Amino acid sequence: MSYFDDPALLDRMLKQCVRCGFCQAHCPIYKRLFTESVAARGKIRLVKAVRDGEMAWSRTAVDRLYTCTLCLGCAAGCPTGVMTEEIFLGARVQAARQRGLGGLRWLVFRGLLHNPSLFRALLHAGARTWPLLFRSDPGPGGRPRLPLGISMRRVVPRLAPTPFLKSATVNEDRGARGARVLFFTGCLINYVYTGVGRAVLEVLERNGARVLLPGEQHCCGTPVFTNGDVITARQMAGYNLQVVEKYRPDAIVTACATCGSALKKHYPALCEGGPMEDAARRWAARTYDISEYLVKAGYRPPEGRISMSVTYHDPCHLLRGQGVYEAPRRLLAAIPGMEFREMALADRCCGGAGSFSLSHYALSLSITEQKLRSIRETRAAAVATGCGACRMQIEDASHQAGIGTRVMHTLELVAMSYRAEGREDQGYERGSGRGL
Amino acid sequence: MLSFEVIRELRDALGRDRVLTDIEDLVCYAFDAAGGLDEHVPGVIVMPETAGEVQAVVRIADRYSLPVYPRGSGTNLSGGTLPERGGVVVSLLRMNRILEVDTDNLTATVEPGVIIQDLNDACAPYGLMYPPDPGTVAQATMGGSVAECSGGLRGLKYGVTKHYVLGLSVVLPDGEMARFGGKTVKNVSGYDMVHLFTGSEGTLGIITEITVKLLPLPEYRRTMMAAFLDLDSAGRAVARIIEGRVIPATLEILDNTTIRAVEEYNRCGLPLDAAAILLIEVDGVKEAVEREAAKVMAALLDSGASFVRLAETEREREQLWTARRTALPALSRVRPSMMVEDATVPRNRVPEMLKEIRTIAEKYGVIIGTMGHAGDGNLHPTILTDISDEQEMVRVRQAIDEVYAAALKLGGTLSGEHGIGRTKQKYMEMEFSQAALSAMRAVKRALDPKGLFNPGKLVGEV
Repeated sequence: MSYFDDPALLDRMLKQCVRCGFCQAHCPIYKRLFTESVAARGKIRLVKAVRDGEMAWSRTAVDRLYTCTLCLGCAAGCPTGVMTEEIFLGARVQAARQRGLGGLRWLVFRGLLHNPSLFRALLHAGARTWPLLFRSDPGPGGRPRLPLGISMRRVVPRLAPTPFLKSATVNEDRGARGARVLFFTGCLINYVYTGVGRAVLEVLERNGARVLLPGEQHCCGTPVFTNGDVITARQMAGYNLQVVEKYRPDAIVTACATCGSALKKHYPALCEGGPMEDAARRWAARTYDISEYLVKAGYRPPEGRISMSVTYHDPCHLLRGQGVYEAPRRLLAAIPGMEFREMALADRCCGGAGSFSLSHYALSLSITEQKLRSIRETRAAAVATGCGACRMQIEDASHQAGIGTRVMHTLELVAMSYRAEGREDQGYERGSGRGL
Repeated sequence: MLSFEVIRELRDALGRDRVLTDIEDLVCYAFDAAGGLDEHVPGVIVMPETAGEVQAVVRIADRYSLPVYPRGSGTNLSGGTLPERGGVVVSLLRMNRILEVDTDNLTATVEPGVIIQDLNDACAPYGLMYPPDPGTVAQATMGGSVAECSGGLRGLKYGVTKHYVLGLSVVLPDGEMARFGGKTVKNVSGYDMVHLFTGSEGTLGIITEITVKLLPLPEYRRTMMAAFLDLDSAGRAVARIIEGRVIPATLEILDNTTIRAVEEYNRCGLPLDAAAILLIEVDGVKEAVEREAAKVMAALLDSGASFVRLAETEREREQLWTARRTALPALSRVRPSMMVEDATVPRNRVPEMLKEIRTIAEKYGVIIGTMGHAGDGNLHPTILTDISDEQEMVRVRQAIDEVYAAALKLGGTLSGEHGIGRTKQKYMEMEFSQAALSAMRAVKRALDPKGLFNPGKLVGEV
C-alpha cells in the first residue's frame, strides 16, 4: 500500500490542501486554459468529490485529471507541501479501476508491456515498419502516413535501425578496476536516441567505470502507472529489480529523467508491502542521474575544446522529480570553449510529458511555444537537456515552427569534448545557420 | 440549475467553449482561499474576452434576474467570490492584456485578468514598479486586487491598491459601460467613483479596464532584523523608528508562535525565546537609505532588542526574509487547517493587540500564530486548527469573534486588506452605525437595484 492505492494516505494528503491557489502560478496548463478544474486545487477538489461519493470518475472528471503534464510545478510551489503528484497518480489508479483502462491502453499495457520479450521484438520490428507508417521529413523524424490515433502533424522521431542495447559493446578490460555501474537506458535511449546511450557508455568508461548493460532490462513502467495501471507497473518494477539484483552493481545510472524518477521514487512505492519492497528501497538509494553520478564520483572533466554556446532546459522529472539542478550545468560549464547561457524560465515544463503530448497535442504544443521563445532569446547554438521526452517535444515543436532547434543530451556534449581531446576545436560553425 | 435558454443565450454570446456547465468544473468554483466556509456551486461559469462580452453576459443575467459573481484568481481570504446563490460566475482571467505602459505619464493600463506580477515584470525594464504586493502577487489578478483593494508588505511606505488606481472602466449591473477617472494624478471631476469601485468586492459592477499609477523602482535597499524578549520592547522599537521620521518600506512582525513554527520548518537560527521579531527594509536613494538604516539600527538597539542583524549581501538579505516568507507555510504545517485573519489596529496599539490575541488563544485553547505588518497595524492572526473537528471549530469561531471585537475596541478595523466578503459580514454592525450602513446600502441599491451583483457580500442584505 502506498500513494498508488492507500485510501488512508490519500485522506491525509488531501487534508493538506488549504486551497490558497498558489498552484495556479506554477501550472503550465492553467496558464493556457484558465479553468480552476485543471489547477491543482481544482483537481484535488475533484479527487475529494469522488472520495466523498459526491460524484464518480466521470469522463469529464477523468479528462481534468489527465489534463496535466505531471510537471510537479504545483508541488514545488505549494506553501503547505501538498503531495500533488502522489495524489494524482493514486487518483488515476482509482479512475482506471472504476472505468477500466480503455481498449488501446489495455492492449499496450497488459498485452505488450506486460511481456518484456514481446515488447522488445515488436520494437525491433518497428524500426523496419517505421518508414511504412511515417513519411520521412528532413529534420528530426516524420509525420504519420495514416491516422494512427495521433495528430497527423506530429513529427515522430525515427526508431533506430538497431537498438542501443543490441549494438553497444562494453569495454571489458579498461574498466575492470572501477565501480560497476549498471546503465538503465529506458526506451527512448534504447530505441530512438541511441547516440545518447553511446555517449553515456563512453563517458562512464573514460572515467574508469565498468559498465553493465543488461540486454533484458525493460521499460521503466512510467507510461503504465501514469495511466493508472498499477498492476502492470508493479510487475514491470519487479521484473527490472530482479534484473538489477542479478547483476548487483555498485550503482545504477539513468540518462532519462523519467526513468530516474521512476527508479528512485516510484519503485519503492509500487513495491511497498510486496516481496520486492526491500530491493526497491535499496536500489532507489543507489540510482543516480548520469550528471549527478559523474559530479558525485569526481569525474575527470573533458579537455577537448568545443567552441559553442549552449543553454539548458530542466526536465521536470530531473529538477523537481530528482532534485538535480547543479550537476548538468556544471558538466556543461566545465567543457573547454563552451559558453553556458541560462535561459529564462529554464525550469518551466516544455509541455511534452510523454503520452500527454499524444492525447493533448495542441495544448502541449502551445506550452512548448514559450519554451522555444526562452531558448531563442539565449541565441545559443544548442539546447542541452536530460530527458528524451523533452527532446522529442522541443524538436517537434521547433520543426512545426520551422526553426530547427538543435536539442542534445548533456552527455552527448560531454562525450564530444572527450572525443575532441588532442584535436583541433570541434565547435559548430558559428552563425552558419545551423544554430537557433 | 439554470434553464436551457440562459445557457443557450450565454453560448450564443461567448461561444460554447467559454461557457462551462459541467458539474466537474462548477464544483471547482464553489470555494476560494478563505477557510472554514460552506461551498456553493454556481449555475454556470463564463469566460468573456472583451468588455463587450462582459456587457452581453451582464444583460443576459439582468434579463433573467440571475446573481452575478465576478472572479479573478479566487485567492481572496474572505469568501468574497463564493457564488452563494448559484447564478453566473464571470471569470475575467481571459481578459489578460497589458494594454499600455505609459513611461511619460508613469501609468499602466491593463485588463482585469492581468496577474500583478506580470504587470511588474512588464514595468521593470523601464525602471518602474506597481507597488501593491499582496502575498498572492504571483496569482492574484489586477481586477481582483482592485475589487478587494489589496494591501501587502509595503503598505506603510507605499500605501495600498486604492492609492494607485487612477481610472476604471466598469460594466454596471444594467449592462451599461462607464468610464471613471483617467491618467491624471489630479482629477476632481464628479464623485470619486474610482475609489468607490476600488474595494467594492464585486457588488457594484464588473471592472473591465484599470489604469494605475507607477513608481520608479527603488535603486537601493537595506534589510534588518531584530528580536525582542517582550512585546512592549518590539512596540517601542516601531515607535522609535517612526519618531526618527523613517518610513520603512517593510516593517513586519512575527510573534513567538510563528517564530517557533518557522524555526521548526527550516532551522534558520531564530531565537526561540523571543516574544517577537521585527523585519525592516528601507529603500530608495542609496545615501538616504544608508542614513535611514543607521537610524533604524539605533532605534532597535535603544529599544532593547536582544539581537540585531543588518544584511550586508543579497544572500544575507534573502536569509533575513526567509523567516517572513516561510511564516505561512511553516504555520500551515502545525495543524491540518489554517484560517488567516486580518484584524487591523492603529500602529501604536500593535503590542496591545498581540497581547489580546494571546489571551484569546489561551482562553479558547486554540493555536494562533500572528505575523503581520507592524508598520501599518495590519496583523494576521492565523488560527491553526482542523476544520473537520466540529468541537474545536466552535471554539475557533468564538476566538475569531473576540479577535475582531478586540481590534475594534483598540480603535481598529475589521479588515486591513482581505475584505469583508462573507467571513466578516456578521461584524459589520460592530464597526458601523446604522446610519453608516444605510448610506452604504443606499449606494448599493442605487447602482444595483435588483441586488444581483455578488449579493449578500460586503453590505449584506439590501
